[in-house]
Amino acid sequence: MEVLCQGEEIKKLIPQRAPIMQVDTLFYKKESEACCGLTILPDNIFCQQGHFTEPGLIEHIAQSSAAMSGYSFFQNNQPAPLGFIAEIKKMNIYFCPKTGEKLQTKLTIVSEVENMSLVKAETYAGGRLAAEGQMKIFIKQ
Amino acid sequence: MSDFELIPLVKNFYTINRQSKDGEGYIFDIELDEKCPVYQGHFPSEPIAPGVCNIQMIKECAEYAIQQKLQMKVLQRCRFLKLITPQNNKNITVRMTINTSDEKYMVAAQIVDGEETYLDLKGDFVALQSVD
Repeated sequence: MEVLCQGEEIKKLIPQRAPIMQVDTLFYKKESEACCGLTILPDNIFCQQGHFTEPGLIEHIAQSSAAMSGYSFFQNNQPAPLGFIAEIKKMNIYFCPKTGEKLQTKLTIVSEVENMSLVKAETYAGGRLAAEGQMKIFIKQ
Repeated sequence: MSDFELIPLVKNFYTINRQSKDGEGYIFDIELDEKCPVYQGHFPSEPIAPGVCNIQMIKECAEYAIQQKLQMKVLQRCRFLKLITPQNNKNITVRMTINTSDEKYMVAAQIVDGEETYLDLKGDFVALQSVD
């Protein structure tokens, strides 16, 4: 798959830093859709007994959404804004991926009102749906 | 007493100072540690407790209450009403009720500081099966 941004460059899109960075790739960004990725490394703070746990999956989705909106700021030569989760709705956790697996998260913006966006997310690991749900994200400007 | 041991996922994020019961509800008096390494990255110039760390803390309080490791199945709803920071909210309280049905643990929890509610959560959990 083509890549829009990865590695160190991701720091231009999101304000989070180690040890809580949970996105390492932006594959694509369209009008209201994007796809982000993360390779789960063994030293990830959300790994326990060889598995990437629920808060890791949820944070990965939140930061994927941050990277999606951060990319627009980046294109306008602006720094990544701080974003906060305002609400999580119907977040289903189907399984916790294993350390070493690669996550891919597909995002769709359901609605956007001023600084608040409602995003739908599906996170896949090894082609299987690991988590899906909705999140309201507030962008501080 | 069971031999259940609470091992927080994120090291040094919080400590439970006291656990008590209020009718059917559980109350946890919690202290946040501003030296927790997550604040180095969330965010470098503005330490704010990551929402998912707060959720994990609630899950661990539920595990402590029922002396059983849990797996989250559905986070039905979690509202983040105010930002929690380790400076302004060093001592917080987690209140929760846990109802069971069909091997499901339904947790309703709030994080409060004084009179104010900071987070409001409803989620369904199951007993954690031993991971392969």
